[in-house]
Amino acid sequence: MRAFLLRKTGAALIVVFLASIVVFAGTRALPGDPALVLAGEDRTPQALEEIRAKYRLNDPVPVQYASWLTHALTGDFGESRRAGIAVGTTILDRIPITLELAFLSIIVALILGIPAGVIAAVKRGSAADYASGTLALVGLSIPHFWLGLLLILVFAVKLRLLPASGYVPFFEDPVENLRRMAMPALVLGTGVSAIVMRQMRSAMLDSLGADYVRTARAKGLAERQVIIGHAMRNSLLTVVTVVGLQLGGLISGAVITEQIFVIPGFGRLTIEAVNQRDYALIQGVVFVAAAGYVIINLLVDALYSVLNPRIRVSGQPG
Amino acid sequence: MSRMLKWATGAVVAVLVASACGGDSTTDTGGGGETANQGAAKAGGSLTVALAEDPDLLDPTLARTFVGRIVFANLCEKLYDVNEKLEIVPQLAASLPKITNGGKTVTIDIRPGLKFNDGTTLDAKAVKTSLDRHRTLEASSRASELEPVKSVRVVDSDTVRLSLDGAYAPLTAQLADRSGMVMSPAQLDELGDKFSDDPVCVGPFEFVRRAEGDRIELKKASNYYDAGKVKLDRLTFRIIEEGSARSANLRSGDVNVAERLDPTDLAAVRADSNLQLVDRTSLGYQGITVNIGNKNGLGEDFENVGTPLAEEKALRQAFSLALDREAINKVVFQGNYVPGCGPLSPVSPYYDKSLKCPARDLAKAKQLVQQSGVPTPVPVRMMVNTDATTLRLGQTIQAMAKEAGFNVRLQPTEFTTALDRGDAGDYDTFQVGWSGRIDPDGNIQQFVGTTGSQNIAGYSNDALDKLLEEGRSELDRAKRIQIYQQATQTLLDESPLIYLYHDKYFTGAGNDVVGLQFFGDGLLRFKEAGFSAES
Amino acid sequence: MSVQDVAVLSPRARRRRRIRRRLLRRPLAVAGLVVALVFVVVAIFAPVIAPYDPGRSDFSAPLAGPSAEHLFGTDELGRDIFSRVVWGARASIQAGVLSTLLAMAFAVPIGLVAGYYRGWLDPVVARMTDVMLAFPFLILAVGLAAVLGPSLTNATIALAFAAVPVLIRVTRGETLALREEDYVRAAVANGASDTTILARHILPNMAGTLIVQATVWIPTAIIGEALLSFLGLGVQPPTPSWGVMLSAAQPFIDQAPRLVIFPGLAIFLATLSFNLLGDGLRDVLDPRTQT
Repeated sequence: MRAFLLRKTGAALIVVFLASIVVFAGTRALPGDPALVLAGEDRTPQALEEIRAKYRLNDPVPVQYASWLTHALTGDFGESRRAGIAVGTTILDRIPITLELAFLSIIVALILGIPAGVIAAVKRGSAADYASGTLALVGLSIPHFWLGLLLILVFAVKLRLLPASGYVPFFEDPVENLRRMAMPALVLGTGVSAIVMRQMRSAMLDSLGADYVRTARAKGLAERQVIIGHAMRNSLLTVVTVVGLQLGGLISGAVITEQIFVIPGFGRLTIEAVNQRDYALIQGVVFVAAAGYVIINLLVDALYSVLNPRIRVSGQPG
Repeated sequence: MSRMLKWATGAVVAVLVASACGGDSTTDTGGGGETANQGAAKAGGSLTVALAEDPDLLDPTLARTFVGRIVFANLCEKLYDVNEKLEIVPQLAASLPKITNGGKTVTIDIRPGLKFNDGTTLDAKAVKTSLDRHRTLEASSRASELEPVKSVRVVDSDTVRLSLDGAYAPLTAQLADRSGMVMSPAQLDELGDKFSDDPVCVGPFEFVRRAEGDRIELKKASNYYDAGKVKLDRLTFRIIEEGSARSANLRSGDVNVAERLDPTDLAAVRADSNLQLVDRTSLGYQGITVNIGNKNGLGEDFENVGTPLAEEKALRQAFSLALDREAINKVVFQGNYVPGCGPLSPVSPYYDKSLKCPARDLAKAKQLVQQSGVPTPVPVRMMVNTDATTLRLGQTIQAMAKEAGFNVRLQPTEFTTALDRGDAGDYDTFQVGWSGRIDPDGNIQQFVGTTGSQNIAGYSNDALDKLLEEGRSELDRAKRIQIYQQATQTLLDESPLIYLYHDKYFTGAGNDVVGLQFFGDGLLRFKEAGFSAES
Repeated sequence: MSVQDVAVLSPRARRRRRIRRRLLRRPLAVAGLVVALVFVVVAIFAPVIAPYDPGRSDFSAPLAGPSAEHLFGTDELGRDIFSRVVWGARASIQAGVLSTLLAMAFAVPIGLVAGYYRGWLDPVVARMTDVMLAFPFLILAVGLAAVLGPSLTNATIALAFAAVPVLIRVTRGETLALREEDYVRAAVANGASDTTILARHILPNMAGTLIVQATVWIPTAIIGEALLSFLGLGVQPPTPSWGVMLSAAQPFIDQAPRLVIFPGLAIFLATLSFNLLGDGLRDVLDPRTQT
């Protein structure tokens, strides 16, 4: 077991290292000269040359990479070109917002997905089973950003119940914060809830046929108790793992959800950085996202292999 | 909205004269610079402003963006400022500069007893430190603005003397913008070129913190000399790039003020009885630059690029005649901008009031196309920015030009890439604009003068060059107006740049916001702003 | 059906027939198949079906409501929304189908070779896919589209590339399993060449899995195209695409909500139909990966 985990960790480190090269190369491959963005309307040749010299844009890319990597290893991702603020600070500013969004959407997903999955499994083949199965497919097929626009249309434009966009920090005003987060969390949670529902259903079907459930029934326990106390408890483990694997998908989803609801989180930061051609910011943001994703997968892998040594899961498409 | 507007009024201080256009019932069209509500402001309160972009470095020496100047207007005072009539008035200086020795010596008296927001004293030495930093720091954006200044000398604790190598009329205007901002020497010693991490100047508000791409927080400055007039305890700038989100946040009350609202959002803001809306017409223009001779890249020799529009003046005229500028304004901007066909904005003092833009004339356009002998449809590639409004504009132009026999192919191009391609001459036509300068020369020469620094059209016309040269050296205003009238007519005829319209800055605010100063320069001054005492 | 009928059919034909019968027993899968085919037909015959030129503007009637002339009304530039939705199917189906085929053409050979030969190649391929998988699918697609520049072709390539690592993994895993099968071992023992084994024994036996993967990726790519176009990284106006229409409609959401509703509905129905079909096919063809 320890050897397995060590091997996994080693592989993950290599992946993170290679990912950093990919990020760096990708950033340099973006069309558009960052000096032009910085120069504004003052784009005389001297101004552009001064900017390029100041930010060492003329150095060979491997040299730039080496310098970036040595700093990044100490946690210093440089500073943004535009505002001159440490990239690390900005990332730390934004991550909690996206984590809150991810957390709330997972809650939404569990609230919607678990009961639906349990009912579908217990009443297998019934109308309820088909209905929740179809709903799950609907949840998987509906584009995030369109759902977001529809929610804005209904709740903000027509009913005027919720603000269309904006963000209020939780510690400033918890109620307002949750009001702002309601629609984005629903948008992000819908897709995941479909996956949770399907996983819950099949895990429940497995456990309902398992020996210990039969034993419990034979002992004369009430059906309700059998389902909640035994079958569900075991199925939840699978679901937890599945949710962990969905985090990558949540990061993807957060990019567009934050864009639509104008939430200053990590996903929006990514788009801003790309639009500004702010190399240091893009590198820092995408690298942290990729490294975080690899680490989460590693943890999920480890957790899963501890829980269920027979199976080793791998990443799913986001 | 075209991206050019975002960098409005960059390097040179561009000051709008009192706007005299608009005519919309909700707009303040007079020369006054304040929002419609003029009740008394109560002390205290926290006001939030939505900005359309994230400012760059909060360092007066290095800053380049228009949006940054909005923040500076509340954080860093300058030797001089403009008043609501856009006249230059002393701010940190005690009086207007004394210019002697044929313009080669400029003496500036400084108000005594000023304190920076960190409590240190602002004296002549501090002014010299800042001016020298502006002039000499690596990658300073101010160096070119202060280029004629050869030395700065401290005469006594309240006086500095600038030596120039010749008369330089725009100097006072420069010192009324970022070049005239004075930074705390103590803070410069401590932070050096990281000054923007915690900028300290003299100002009604002082810096608290900044979160990149999200917000900039300021609070009332305790050491400010005019603190009695400052009402607000806190002033927060939030960065909200989407126009629709700025307007939604304004309507929901999340922000108290929102700058540069999108034309599509104005109807909703106007309809909201809790909001006020003010506008200022930009000094700039928007148009279509036709690549005529920029075959080898900016700065290289001109050579006709060989496209039909480059070779045939008549086709450019036909293209212009095919466009219905009024309809463009109506469809694309919901009637909120000002249609135009020349380089000067109606708010420019040099604007030719007799200028009548030719109305759409499809028959004549078709006739010109036919006479040119070029087989129809005439292919035209047009590079446009990728934002929704510009795409709407591009598609409208495309549909209108099609009727006259042009087959316009849009090339939506991300902004920086588009600038690259513009400079390299890798385009046929390019929808782009200019934020505008107070002097008419700044709107014309650099774009269509043969030696113009941004002549990406590769356009060269000896007669026009001569005219522009005259305009630069002529000091009589009436004669200059005539010269630029003539230049505008030449440009209309030759159409190397097909002018379309002039933007407006729209600022929305809650009705309870009073005392906000919104001058023709498009900046927002919150020094005396506050919340209405009545509410 | 008589016993004799079944007897004269080859095993493969029999299997195909069984699959068809089982698929037809699933009404939702059939519905998905029908709707998906409708979208494909609409995409192919868009010029015939659309009542108007999708780029034709009527500046006198922007944002007009639905009428007999304009079934879905007109957009902000006075263009017929119905015609634009019809034409939009082209970009979507093209991006969905082509990017999936492209990804398959790239990933399947790599997965086959890595899984069959193992050796040094296998870990190299595995690390490469790991690195690509370190970037969530959409981030990868958005990044690639930004680097390549905005166009439908580049969006298709970006989406294909983003799908490659998963498809390599699936193919490799299948190959690993299949090469241990008795009939493959028998073929090896009989001296069949590697090419023969891969082409005649391994590839056909993973066809079911690959078809299921394709039906999973097509809807993902359809959403991906819409999203890239929505962000300005995909199809460019005036070419009609559902994502472009949604992005242009955003400022008009309170004036004319239908501008947001119709293109979104089209994306939703297209993805739903492929997902329904994919679910049905998975149950029939590839019971192992059932979720």
